[in-house]
Amino acid sequence: MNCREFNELLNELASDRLPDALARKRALVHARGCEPCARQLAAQRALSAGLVEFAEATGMELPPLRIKQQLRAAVAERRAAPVLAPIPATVLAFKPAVKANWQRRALAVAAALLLLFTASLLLWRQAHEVQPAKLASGATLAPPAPPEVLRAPLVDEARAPDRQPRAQLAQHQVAKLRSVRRAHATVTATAEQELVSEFVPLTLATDERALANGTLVRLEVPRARLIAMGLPLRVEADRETVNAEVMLGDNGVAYAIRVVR
Amino acid sequence: MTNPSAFQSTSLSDEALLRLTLDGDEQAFDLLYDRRAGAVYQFALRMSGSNALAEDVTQDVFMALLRRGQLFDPARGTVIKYLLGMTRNRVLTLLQRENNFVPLQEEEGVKETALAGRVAAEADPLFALARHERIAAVRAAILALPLHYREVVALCNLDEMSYEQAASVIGCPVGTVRSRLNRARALLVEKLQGVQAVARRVAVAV
Repeated sequence: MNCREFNELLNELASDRLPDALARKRALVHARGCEPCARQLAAQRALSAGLVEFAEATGMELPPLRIKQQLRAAVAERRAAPVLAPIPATVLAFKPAVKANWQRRALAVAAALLLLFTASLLLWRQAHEVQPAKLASGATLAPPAPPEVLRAPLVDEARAPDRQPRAQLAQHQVAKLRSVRRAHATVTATAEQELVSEFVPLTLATDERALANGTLVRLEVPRARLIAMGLPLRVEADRETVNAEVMLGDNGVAYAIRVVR
Repeated sequence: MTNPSAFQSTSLSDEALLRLTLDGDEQAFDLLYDRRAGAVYQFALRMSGSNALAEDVTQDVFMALLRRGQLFDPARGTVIKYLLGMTRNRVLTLLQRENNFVPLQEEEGVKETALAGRVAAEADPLFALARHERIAAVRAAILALPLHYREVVALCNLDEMSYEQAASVIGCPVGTVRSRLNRARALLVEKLQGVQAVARRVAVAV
């Protein structure tokens, strides 16, 4: 036996767990003739003795009685309310943490699928129900979109307490925006040479004074961002940017947006 | 309900006791708990070095057994392996969570007080003190090991499990257990020799 073979057996030899009597005898013979291996064996034997002492010392320790009492109460509750579901005979048992992970993963996949389905449904509905936004000159910027979509405010539908009053409010606000747009003669002069859509309200709040002194700000906005806001633009070209004009009140609030081409 | 005469003998297997426990049988639970709680608690204690954590883990593991015990499959191993597997997972989770916190020294103080009491009560206090020092050194060396080495030492050297049993608790190949144990023991020897060298230097200086 050489030192490498001895080292492979060292732990079992030191712990008296080497089942092969012949291998044990050969290892001991090697240790007698090899000082480094003999030192290793002595150190490992001392460690084994220390581990035995430690195991004996901690082997006396038991959990406090209150834990058993609490668990016993849980068993009693179980008896009071027996499990109605049948217990499966064989199920995966030895990796509870892994099983929990699988359950979590399955839930996450299900949630993602549900989200994807909902998003697809919304996009499909949007594509089929929305009529083209009417431009000031009669041209369209996007596939069919009903006028009511343009009039609808760009806020979460679920938050609106009542759809009808909000639609009325939006119509009122669009009318107000139209009057403001007329007031901006210079901006409108530019707009007349371009194709512009109707204003789409960005907020339900109205502040006539702020709007009267407001300004039109032209921006280049990613099409995807406008689509995400609910504007009826073509989804296929969502990586492009489009020109848009934002109506800013003098209080800094963006009240409405329109697309310019 | 269970036939009470069944409990006149404690020869019922852990699996049978678990089934009865899940049916709400308190006597069966008592037997199962008395038989296995010590192993769960001691494994958690040896892994963590904290009585408080070991108590929490013991309670969590048995509570999980009561809630999800029907997931136990006898074809895949014994109840004690199932319990130790859960204990291991729980201890690792709690230790990783507690790594973010600075431990309080109170528990150590309590231990030292208890140790002093035990040493004084021994017939040969000097021998007892030396023994307690050795045990404390081994405890400290084990707790200084990385967790994946610590668990194989706890299972194979302290709980005296075979490599195969330890592998089924940890969920890794037998060869991995063997190599980890070799490395862990080599580390322990290094640490303990370091402690002994320091102790010798202190003794000479005194």
